[in-house]
Parts: sequence; structure tokens; C-alpha cells
Amino acid sequence: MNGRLLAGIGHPGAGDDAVGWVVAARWPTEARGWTVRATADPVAVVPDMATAARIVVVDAVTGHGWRPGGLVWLRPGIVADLGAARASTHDFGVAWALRLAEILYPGVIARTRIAGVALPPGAASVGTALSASLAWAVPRIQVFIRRQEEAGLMHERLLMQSLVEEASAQVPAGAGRVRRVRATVADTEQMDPATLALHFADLARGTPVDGAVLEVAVRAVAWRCVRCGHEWQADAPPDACPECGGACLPTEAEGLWLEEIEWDADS
Amino acid sequence: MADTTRVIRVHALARVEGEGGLRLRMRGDTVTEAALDIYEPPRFFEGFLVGRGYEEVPDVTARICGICPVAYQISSVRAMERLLGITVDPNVERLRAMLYYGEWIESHALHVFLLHAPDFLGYEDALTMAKRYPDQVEGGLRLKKFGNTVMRVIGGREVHPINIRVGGVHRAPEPEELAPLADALPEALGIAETAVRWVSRFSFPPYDGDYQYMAVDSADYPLVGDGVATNRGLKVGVDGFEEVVEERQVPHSTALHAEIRGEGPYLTGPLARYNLGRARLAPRARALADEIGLPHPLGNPFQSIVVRCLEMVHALESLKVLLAAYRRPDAPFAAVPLKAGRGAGVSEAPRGVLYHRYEIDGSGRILSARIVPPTAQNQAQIERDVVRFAPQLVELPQDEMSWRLEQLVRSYDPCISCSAHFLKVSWDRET
Repeated sequence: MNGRLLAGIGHPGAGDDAVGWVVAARWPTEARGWTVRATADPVAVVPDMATAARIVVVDAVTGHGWRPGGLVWLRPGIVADLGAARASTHDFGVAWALRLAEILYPGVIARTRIAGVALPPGAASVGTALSASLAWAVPRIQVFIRRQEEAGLMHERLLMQSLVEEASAQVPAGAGRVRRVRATVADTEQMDPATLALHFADLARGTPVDGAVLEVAVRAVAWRCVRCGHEWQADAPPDACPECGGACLPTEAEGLWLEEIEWDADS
Repeated sequence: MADTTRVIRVHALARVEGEGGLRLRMRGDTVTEAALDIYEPPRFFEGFLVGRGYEEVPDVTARICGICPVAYQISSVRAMERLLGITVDPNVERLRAMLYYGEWIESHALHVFLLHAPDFLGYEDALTMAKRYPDQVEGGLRLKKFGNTVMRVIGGREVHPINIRVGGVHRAPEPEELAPLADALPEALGIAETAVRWVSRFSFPPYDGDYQYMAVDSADYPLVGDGVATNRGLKVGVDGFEEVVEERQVPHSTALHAEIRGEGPYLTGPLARYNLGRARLAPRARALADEIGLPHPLGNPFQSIVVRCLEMVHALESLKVLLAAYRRPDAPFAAVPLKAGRGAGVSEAPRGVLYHRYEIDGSGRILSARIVPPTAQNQAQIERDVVRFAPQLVELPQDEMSWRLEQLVRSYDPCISCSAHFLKVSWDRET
């Protein structure tokens, strides 16, 4: 058993619901040791799960008030609480595929992490491109996934590269000096704001946000059990509910966001 | 039992494509009412094609179905090419046929291994069946993966491919780009052959539908052609299809019912293709049919699972021949000389005959569109079969009777999403 499998689930013509497909289709070429599948059909990747030592499934998630573009790590236990087994082909989703894979290749679920990407409420679907919040989130989602799986990856630098690009794109032509960039990061990411600021300052050179101070606030993430509803605070992703052992979801999405940019009116 | 009224309602059919149910009322041993309720919302595709350009038909109609999009692409471009008098390069035809066979394989593998086989082995679903038959289910997934790979390599995507256009394809691959398909083909063929023998040993409820079969009229095993034929001697060119086939609305379904005018329901799909085209199966598939002693003619719809497996063997053998013969064409598509007119096209979707007809003006704008999918054509026949089959089940407990009837309906592999496409809906339902 070897290698890592990344399965990005989504239909490329389905607006924000394509985000899993996009994360896989735009997977960075410098990421080594990954087999990457972008597909609209989760069942199609089941055979690929047989020999992968680590599996990450990326799919769009919705319905819990998560901030659009946020990352929601679904722990393996959630699979048992998702989806219906006896229904039409329209229900052959990620949970169904993982259940089938677990039967065929015992141990698959323990080797799998599901990276949910939160959609905006009422996300547009057929025939549209990703909305801005999701388009900017894609490279960061990729970094967070690689951070989980690739030891020694300079993830802070990759994240700040993405933030510099997003912030630079937001600064209007003719704006004065950018003074400050504010961002937030979930405490579960366990990132040091000072380290992020150092990388940001270095990477911002020569860009519209050159010289700006990066302020990163750490957001506390709470957890809710999908079985008993218990809520609690934890700064590391829990595997199960401490009350009943059920699977849990974060009450707000993990990840990192650009919140505010402050610039001088005159150049 | 003689005076007892039994009502069987399967509110949501499991293991079918799309959303539908089944309603049956019996008095004694006689079925007084049978209805395949198709309540999937109407799709309106024919309506919103009007006013669009002729070139949009393959990509718009592909969205009717995520399982058989190539069928919609092929029938639609064949209709337009017939209308415009376009001759397609033989190597482009080979590419299209390979893509189509990829779809047959992924669609049939899905139905055989994940939807239909659990019926014969007494399992609720493929998940529970996989615990006892992991090798078969894994084989099915590998077959499906092969079909998906054909779709991706030739069509550009596994679901809703993007390479088909009026006049040809957008891009014709170099033969070496298709080499991975040739490399993976022997394993897939081995799995499909094993599957034929496996399903042929299932126990099939005795039933003979005494069907009128309809399939695309072709010198080869039915795939594409310029008309349709039946086992009762009817042959009609594609331009005469609507004179022969009549569609009508029924209150309980968002799909139209189709009948042969003056003759009633008919059946299209694997059984029809097998009965009309058995002699033209690829050699290995034909030898396997002999080996397992598959009757011909074959009138038992439950045995369609065997035919689907044979058709996967046929598709893989055909792919092998097509791959060997393929040369990159000088141009991926022919010039499109626009003119006003009306044209129709047919091809064999995994579930049977798929008919498209378009009328366009001189600038290529679509004035009218008509699509007759196979499940809509089969719906009246399915209801007739339920009426005829149910009396065999009257001694069974209600749950088992429901399950047996569902099994019958699943034999036709109904694609309900495809069939729900008409415009007016009126409901008349029992309370």
C-alpha cells in the first residue's frame, strides 16, 4: 500500500458545486506522490482506494451556516451518519462510495479524510463559474490538504502566497499605500500569526501590498455532535463526541480568510 | 383470496435512475390497475432548445442524463447531420462509436453490479451484497472505471463529455493517446466474460413478455443507423419514426407513453437488440451466448441482466477492433453548410432507441425539437408486464410481492430522469 489519493468530487459545469473537482483539476504540479482524480462520480474512484495509503476526498458541503470557502474536515466517523444506502442512483454519493470501499477494502475509512468546502447559501449551479469566495479559497484548501499529508511542507509560506495574491487583486488601481491587511485563521489550524506575518512581508515585496502589516486574529472553533447535539470547544479537531461518541462537525468552517484591507486614499 | 382487494404501493423505486414509484390494485387474482408513477419533475428540454443554435444540441441535450449523455449527443448530431447533408469521416465515426461503447460499459456495469444483481441474490442493495460477493462487485467497479476512462480519454470528461459536435468531433486524438485503453482492455474483457457466466447462473422468475421489439435498423449489432426495425417485420426510416410511433400523455407520469400506432406497446433496449441482432454480436459474445445456452428469441425481461453482460463483452470486442483500425482523420469535423430543414436521428442508448428530431431555419436557429427517450417508449410495456406478472405472485406476502414487482421494473433499467420531459402535468391520484 503506498501513495496518496486525492479525489475531487464535483461536476465541472455546476458552479460552486464543482469546487471539489476544481481543487483536484488544479492540483499543484509540484505536489509529489499524489494520484489525483477529478470526477463527478464518487463510485468511480472506489477501485483507486484499494492500494492508497492515504486518501483525501474533497467535496462541496453546505447547510450548517459555514462561511463560504471555508474548510470543514469531516472525520471518518461521520460516514456512518451520512447518506442513504437504499435509494436511486442519485444517492450514490461520497458516503455511499466510502461505505462500499470499506466493505471491499477494509481499513479505507480509517485512511481517508474528507475535506468539505463550504458553499455560499443558495449557491449558483449549472453553467456558472466558481463564485469569488470559492475561487480564492481553492489554493488555500490545497495547502491545508497538503499540510495534513506532506511532512515538512512550508505551508505557512504557501498560504501567505495565496493571501498576497488575493489581497493584491482587491486593491484598486490608483490606491495609495496599503497600510494593513487583516485576516483570521481557525485555532484548529494551529498557526502562529507572527510566522505568517514574516512570510507575508517577504512575499509582498513588489506587489500592491508591499509594506503592509499583516494582522492575523485566531478564531476559536466549537464542535457539535451530529448525533446528540452536544457542543464544546476544542483547539484540536476531535475524533468523536465526548458525551456519546458520535461524529462531530465544526460550528464554523476552519481555514484562513482575508477580512479587511486598509490603504491610503492618495497614491 | 378471490374477492380480496390488494393495493400495492412502492412509493419510491429503489436502485433505478431517477425518482419514480409503482402503484398496483388487484381484485383476487386480477390486476385492475397498474401504474408506473414517474414524478420526477418535467425537464422542458425540448422547450428551451427552441431559439438556440443548431450547434448547441449535443451539449444541451447531454445534460438530460449523467449516465447516458453520449446517447443524447450522438442522436442529436446525427439528426443535424442528416438535416444538413453532412457526411462524417469514417475515423470520426470510429471515435464516436468507441465513446458510445464506453458509455454502454459504464452504464451496464452500474446497472448489473450495483442495481440489479442484488435482486437475484436476495440482498437489499449492493452494499450488503458486496460483503458476500466482493470480487464480483469490485470487478463491476473496474469495468465501470474502464468505461469512464474511455469517456474521459475520447470525450474529455467522464460525465457529460465535451468532444462531440455537429460534423464530427472538436478534437481527434492521436492513436497513441488511445494506447492506455488498449492496454486496459484485456482485463476489462476478462471481467465481462466472467460476469456473463456469473449472472447466467442466477435464478430467473418464469415469464415471457411476448414482446414486439424495436431496435435501430443496422447491418451491425444495433448502435447507430438511419431507421428502426421490429421483430414483427416493421421497418421504417428515421424520417418516418413519428408516423409509426405515437406518444400520449397519462395522468400519473411526467413521461409520455409511446406505442406503435394501431399495435400498442413495444419494448426497446438490450432484449430488443439481442433478439434482432444476435447473429451480429461480436464473435466472443456470440460464443458466450452459445456456451451459457441463452435462448433466442428471448422473452424473459429478468434475463436482460445476462444480455447486458453480453453487450459489455460485445462493446469491449468492438472497441478492440475500432482501436486497431483508428487513424487520426485529416480534419476532426466536416464543414457545416447551413440550410433550413427538418431532420431526425436515432441511436441505441444503453436502455434502447433514442430518437431526436429538429427543425431549423436558414441561420441554424432551432424552430422545434422532439426527443423520445427509451424509458418513455418502454413505460407502457412495463405497466403491461406488471399486470401480466402480478397474478403469479398473489400467494406471496405483500412485502415480497412488492419486491418482486420492483425487480421486474428494474429489469428494464428505467432511466426516469431521461424520460420526464413533457410539458403539461395533471395529477389524478388515489387518496
